[in-house]
Amino acid sequence: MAHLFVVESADFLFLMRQTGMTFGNLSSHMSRLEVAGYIDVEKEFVGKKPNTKLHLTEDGRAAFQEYRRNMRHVFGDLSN
Amino acid sequence: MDPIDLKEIERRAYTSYHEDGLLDILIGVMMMIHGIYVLAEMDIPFYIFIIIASTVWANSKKTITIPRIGYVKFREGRRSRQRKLITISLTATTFLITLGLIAFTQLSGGQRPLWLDGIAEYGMIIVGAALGLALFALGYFKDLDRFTAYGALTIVMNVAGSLILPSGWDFWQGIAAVNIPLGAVLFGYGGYMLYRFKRKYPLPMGDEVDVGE
Repeated sequence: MAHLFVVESADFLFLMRQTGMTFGNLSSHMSRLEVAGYIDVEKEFVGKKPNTKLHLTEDGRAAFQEYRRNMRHVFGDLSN
Repeated sequence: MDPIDLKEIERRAYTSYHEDGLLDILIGVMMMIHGIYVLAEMDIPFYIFIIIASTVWANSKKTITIPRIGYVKFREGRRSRQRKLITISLTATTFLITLGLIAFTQLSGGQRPLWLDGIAEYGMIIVGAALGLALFALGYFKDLDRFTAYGALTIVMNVAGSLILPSGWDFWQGIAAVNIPLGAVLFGYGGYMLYRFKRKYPLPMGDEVDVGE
């Protein structure tokens, strides 16, 4: 989600390259995020090749921001 | 403490697009062509080379980079940085054109302004500094540190070149002579980066992954 948060949209290959995840692994994560309503998936053809574009929804961005706030509290407490 | 460094993630996403070395190759080739063009006193309009090189670069991005790394649309913050770079480039170009027109007007009127003599005497250093600054700006706005090194090398080589310029050569010839090895350095390093890029990001296999274009 962090990689999608910093961009407007990205395709599947880009996310694979940035995260270092395998196709199956990333696909599984994206499916769960899509079911949760955190990402939108657009499938289209570019020439003859299928292309999957992903972007975070507003709910997804809010959820990620919430997650970051919680992580900051956890790490803040740990350092204290 | 934020365990997720979003700035670094965004920067890495952006710079991965320029790991291909194509920009280095483009600028290196243009510098070498400029050098040969001036020294060989070619008659062909120079802008033709710019058009061809830019077209080849854009197509290379489409056929080499994007099929290997995918497609991304960056957010407004990154796009506004790009716009700043374009604004600065246009401002600098407008300034230089204006300066050129003023010089032309004064020379046409039979006057030779003193500042033009200054430019003629220190032309290599001035143009070298301008080119170096342009590369610094490119490196800064595009987050490409190696362009800062190119900028420094450009300034150093032009200053050194101005000291050993053969008598009878004007500063344009000196700049052209410096541009050839300088361009070769950029071209060579860009080629090396392209080789590394293709090994790091092989073309995805078959039906497994869809590819952005």
